[in-house]
Amino acid sequence: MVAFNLPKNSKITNGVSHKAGSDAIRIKTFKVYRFDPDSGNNPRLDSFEVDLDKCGPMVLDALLKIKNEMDTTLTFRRSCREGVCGSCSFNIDGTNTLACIKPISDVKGDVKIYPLPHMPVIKDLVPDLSVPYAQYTSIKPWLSNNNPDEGTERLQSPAERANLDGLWECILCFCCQTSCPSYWWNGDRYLGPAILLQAYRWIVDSRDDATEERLDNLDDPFKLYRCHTIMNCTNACPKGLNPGKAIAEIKRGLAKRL
Amino acid sequence: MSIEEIIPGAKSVRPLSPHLQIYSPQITSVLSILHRTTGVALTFGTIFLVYWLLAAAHGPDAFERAQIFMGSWIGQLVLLGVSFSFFYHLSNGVRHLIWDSGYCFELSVLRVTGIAVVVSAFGLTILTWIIAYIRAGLL
Amino acid sequence: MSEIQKPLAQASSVAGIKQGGASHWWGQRLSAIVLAPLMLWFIFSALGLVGADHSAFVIWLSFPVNALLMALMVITLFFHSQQGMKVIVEDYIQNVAVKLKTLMMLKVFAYIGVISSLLAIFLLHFRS
Repeated sequence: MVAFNLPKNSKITNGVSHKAGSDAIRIKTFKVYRFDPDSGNNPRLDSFEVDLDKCGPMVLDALLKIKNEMDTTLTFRRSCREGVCGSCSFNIDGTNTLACIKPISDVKGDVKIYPLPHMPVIKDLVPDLSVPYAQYTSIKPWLSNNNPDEGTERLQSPAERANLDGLWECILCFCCQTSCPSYWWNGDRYLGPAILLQAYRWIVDSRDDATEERLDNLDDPFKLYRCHTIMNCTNACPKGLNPGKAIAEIKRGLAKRL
Repeated sequence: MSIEEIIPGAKSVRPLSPHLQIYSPQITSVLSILHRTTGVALTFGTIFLVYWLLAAAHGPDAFERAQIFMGSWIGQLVLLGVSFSFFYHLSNGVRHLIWDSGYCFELSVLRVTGIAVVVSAFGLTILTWIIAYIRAGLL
Repeated sequence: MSEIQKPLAQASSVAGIKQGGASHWWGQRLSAIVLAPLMLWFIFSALGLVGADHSAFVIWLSFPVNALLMALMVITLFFHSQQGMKVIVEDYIQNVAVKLKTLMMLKVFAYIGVISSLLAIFLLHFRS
């Protein structure tokens, strides 16, 4: 049976509280998941009081302020701070999103920040993403064309190019991937919404000649068909993309071949 | 692979980040798990259908007993559950078929069709029971 | 194979027995499309039979149309239900032995359901 509960070593304990300065007026409490691999202890939930008058508007601003001023050991991925790199994806206030484009003011009450759900945690908010990356590699995310390179561009009509809109924008932040209950239970064999959206991005590319092979590779009860159109993926995507629809298009493509 | 091999000196195995425990219920996932639950309920409901048919085939006395059971409060409770499950599964099933044809995936439409499914499930169940009660002379 | 290559090998492998995910998916949709009107017809008919006694039920089933539609409904119903339950079992049960046992039991349940229902319909239809 799939485990719906957390394993013993993953149960979250109460952590440390950090108070804001006495001059702070607008205080917001951030509850952040912490895990220290060197300690041998279970993960814990630390709380940090942040003075909003001395903090930027986004959740990432608060995390950086906490790291800079309250606890320098806080570990998380971040880079572009403008929603194009896909590094700072966490579970914030119950849903997956990018901390850099999630306004603190969107959250009522305490801001709870966990790593992306149902992933092995390396440290604090940093999950081990080697499985989804390997799954990404498995769909061969590159152009496969039978004609040799003739030193010229491979042209597309505007309509053919338009097929890639809503797909190429994916930044592989894995917000959708780890919002999907089906991926939680069968993530070792189900490719998940992010990878399937990428798979579809190459299937619909007019310059790609491996469409049939790509579809063959996906005609599997687990790789593709663990998708039950739950649609948490589309609900979570911080870029407003639609992995659920992309997967439906793959299923339609496969059904047409029957 | 143990954690010591990756990070020398590390003492603990990587924990699993929380999932069901922390993810807010989404209209998308709640309606989806309800589709599954009602499907399972209907599978159990087939037992009552088979019982009803076998009782009828057995003879008037057995059929009479089956009808009395279905009319009892516990029988009606089961039928209420089965009928709601059916109308929900049917309504959401139509939604699934529309998705499978490639339509209605936009987030805003997703919410509207989700609400429509719930309204339709309750509406059809209530309508069916009103007709059943009128037919039985109870209304 | 090095430890670092393991996730890719797992991601690329064909999971279990390749049973054509597409055909199962299509079967589930097709049976749904057939089943929906049949079930609505059945509920409509069952409402007509509220409070009916045995003879009224036998007369209703003596019409070939009713018997035929009932038989078709029962077959589609158990097929659709068994296929759906199969997906649920595959989702949640990971122990291969337990999974195969449960899938077998579901199949037996569906066959018993279909055969006993068809037998009852057949007997009732030719009683009158």
